[in-house]
Amino acid sequence: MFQAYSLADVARNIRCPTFVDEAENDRRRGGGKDLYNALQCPKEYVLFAASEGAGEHCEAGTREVFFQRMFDWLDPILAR
Amino acid sequence: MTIYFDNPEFDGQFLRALDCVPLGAQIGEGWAIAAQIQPGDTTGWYNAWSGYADRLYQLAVKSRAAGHRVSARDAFLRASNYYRTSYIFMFALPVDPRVVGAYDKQTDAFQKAAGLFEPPIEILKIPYENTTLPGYFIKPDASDAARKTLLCTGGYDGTCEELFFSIASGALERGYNVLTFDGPGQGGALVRQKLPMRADWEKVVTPVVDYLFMRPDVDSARIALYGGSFGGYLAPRAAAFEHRLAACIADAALFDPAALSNKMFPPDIASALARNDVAVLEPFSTSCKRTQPNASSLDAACGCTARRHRWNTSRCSRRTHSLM
Repeated sequence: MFQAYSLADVARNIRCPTFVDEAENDRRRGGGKDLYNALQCPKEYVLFAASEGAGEHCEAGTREVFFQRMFDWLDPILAR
Repeated sequence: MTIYFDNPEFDGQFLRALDCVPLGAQIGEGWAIAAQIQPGDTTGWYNAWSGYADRLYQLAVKSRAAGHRVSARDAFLRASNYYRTSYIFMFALPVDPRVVGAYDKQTDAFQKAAGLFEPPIEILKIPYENTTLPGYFIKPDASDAARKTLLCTGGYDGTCEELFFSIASGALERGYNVLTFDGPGQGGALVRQKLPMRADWEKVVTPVVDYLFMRPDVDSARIALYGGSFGGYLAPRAAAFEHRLAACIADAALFDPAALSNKMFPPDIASALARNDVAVLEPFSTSCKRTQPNASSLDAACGCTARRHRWNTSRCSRRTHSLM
């Protein structure tokens, strides 16, 4: 069923560190902060800003801004 | 942010194509292509992008024949992204043969380029239920060292080829292996295998993690799952059940896409969606297309079963909503 497309009942079961982002002007934005709040794991939330050119869906047009923010979070987690 | 087109759907897809710079797009080419397109003309959009891709593909073949491997590879790559862009507004039911043709071309062009990388990009068929899923494995260099690996899952109208442009470069430069793939409802799994989208994405990711576990060049303790666009729902969904992942990234995160869509629908459509009542949903979907010729409504992630309405109709409603 379409209703199955929801994280409301399962987000708390995520154990691994999780990076949640959304972009300020994304017309398809859908509750990144709600997901972040529901997580019980180590977590990070980033709202990408239009003022840095990263306000569009998936930060289109500013991949490097996303890469820097996300990989600077991820690299230490995966450090040996 | 307006890049070129007043129509936000056109402009969004234009930006999406340009986002693949430098390997998947060149800004000047994008502008030259856009200049051929009349506002709101989805056929013109298809012709301009696919026509330019045809030219590039021929140039790539010529370069390759003359032994210019880098030039050939790079032209094949841009052709791939431009073919993918060409059909985006035709991604709807009934299936337009131009979608299938352009999808095949975006795949073929990418795979021609794959063999010209050093080391070559590996073309995968990942075991999944009774079939396989298409994907790619890309290494930062030729070494067989066991490395950290970024497993990438996309949205409902992208391809595993597009994921190479949008996410792989950042990971490869930082020493990650990258695996991109199409799950049900995406890319080749949808267009060629007719597998519809499914909500329980752990059923899709777990076989891919199984595959990664078998590779000696993957450090199985250091696999991170990236989800972009609708993957911002799919990746956390999978991570809630697949606990071998070391990290999860929800890029354009979604929390409750079902509820979000319900809010956007008129009540009768929302309840028809809950019942999956195709008799109500089909005419609604058709009327969306009629009232928004630009939108084509993208019977996204559709598959060829009635289940297609679960997600695609919501996208349709978003567009309807944006006009209200």
